[in-house]
Amino acid sequence: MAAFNLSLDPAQIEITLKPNAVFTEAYNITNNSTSTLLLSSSVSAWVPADKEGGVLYQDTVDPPLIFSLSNTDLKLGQDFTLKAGQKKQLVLKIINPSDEIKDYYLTFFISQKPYTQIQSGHQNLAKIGSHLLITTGQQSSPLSNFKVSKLNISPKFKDIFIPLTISGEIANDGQHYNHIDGQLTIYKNNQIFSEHSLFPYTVIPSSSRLIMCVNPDSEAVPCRLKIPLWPGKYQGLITLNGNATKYEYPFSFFVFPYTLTIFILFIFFLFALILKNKR
Amino acid sequence: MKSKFIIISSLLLLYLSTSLIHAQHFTSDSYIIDWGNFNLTSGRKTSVNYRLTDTVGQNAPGFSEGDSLRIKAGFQYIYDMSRVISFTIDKLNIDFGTLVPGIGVTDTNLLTVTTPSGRGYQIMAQENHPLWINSSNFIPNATCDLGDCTATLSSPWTSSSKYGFGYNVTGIGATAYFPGSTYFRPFADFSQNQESVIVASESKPVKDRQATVTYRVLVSPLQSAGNYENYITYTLVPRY
Repeated sequence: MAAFNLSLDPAQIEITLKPNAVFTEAYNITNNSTSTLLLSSSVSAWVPADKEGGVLYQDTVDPPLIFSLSNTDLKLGQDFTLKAGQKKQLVLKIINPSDEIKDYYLTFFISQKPYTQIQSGHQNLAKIGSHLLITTGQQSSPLSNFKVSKLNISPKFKDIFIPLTISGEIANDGQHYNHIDGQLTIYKNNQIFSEHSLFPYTVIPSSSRLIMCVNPDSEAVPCRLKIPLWPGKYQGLITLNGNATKYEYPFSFFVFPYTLTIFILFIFFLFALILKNKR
Repeated sequence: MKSKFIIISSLLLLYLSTSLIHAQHFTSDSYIIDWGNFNLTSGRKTSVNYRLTDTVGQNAPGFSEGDSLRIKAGFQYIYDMSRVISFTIDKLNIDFGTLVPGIGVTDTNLLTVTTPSGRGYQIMAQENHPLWINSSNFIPNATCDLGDCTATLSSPWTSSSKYGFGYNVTGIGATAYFPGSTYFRPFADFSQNQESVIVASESKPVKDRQATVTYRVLVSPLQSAGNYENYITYTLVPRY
């Protein structure tokens, strides 16, 4: 039975286009299945759906950008076949005819079409997309305007033997998308206790992304402080670079030896009970 | 004789002192590109104390800016081992066979996803129309046991008296949408102008992540005989 197995490279591009700029991007499409696929290409606009990079496709006004394929044998939207194991390169051409300063969020889709003798085929179909994040305007490197919009340090009772998780959100109050470029630093007694780089998520204007840290494998992981933690007051600082002025978000928390105290009290009461029984 | 020896020795010395030029040849249906630059080496190196990611030999890595555009080309902003997104559906034809009123029939699809480094994914689904012979003769979309499931909300559907066509998805990425294997919902219906809805998603990169779609159809004794058909479109996009 026919299967679908398609790969698309790259999965996302981010560009800034000045007025009248022309940009081309080569997309490599590979049919990894054992059957021929009938495909077509298209571009659709999206809006952010959540704080984790999800997207929502809506009926939106077409952007003024002009999209076409530079391939000599194919137009955008035109059907093409890809045989089993075959690769094809589609070169997407984007022209910015306007001098408007704006961001556009789009997806370049490769859509499967029914490849059957009967045109009213009833087979399931698949689409695979690659995001395009485009800023238009005269500025080549627009500044970001990021801020920490939420911060939470859990658990509520901070114990020396329980790892602390620092979570929250970073909001983009600017006009253009940008990447988070920042650090989380924890100080104890005015000395650096731990330092973490924040994961460089893309944040779209008027939206926010969750604060995550980068692990040694460059993956996004929750920002956690390793145990044991010395009891006392800790100060934290989230620093965001890329804004017009350096942004700093200070916070503090207190770690108390709850478990140790409970254990000592338990031992104390146990001894007290034994002594009482002996008397 | 001496001058010949000097010339030959000089040529030999010149040949031995040169290094190889690493060039790259690309072809496609539309283009042939001969490119004079190619990484000599790149990758991830580890030792007991250090981790190193490198790209050696690339002439213009990273940020590029021209008169009218700016490009962040796949270098180590985050360590991009892979830029490829891929999507597999194990079979494209779902055949329920001959349906018996009051007896639910199921079939499954296995969806497999691989995402690029640093990015999660979302899979969306939509039907072109309900299972139908024509627009006036159709199997209704499932409403589940309590009549409360919708295209965006799943609920238990085990009853043999609640007729319809619906689906469940199991897998790590689907738990937020389908709490269990008995939770079903109808597909978003394109003919009713319903947008494609998310059926599985994750915010972390995945390799060969699988999700199983279980289709269920249950017809009433009053359902007309005939071939009921529709198709489901699955859409995979990365998280931005």
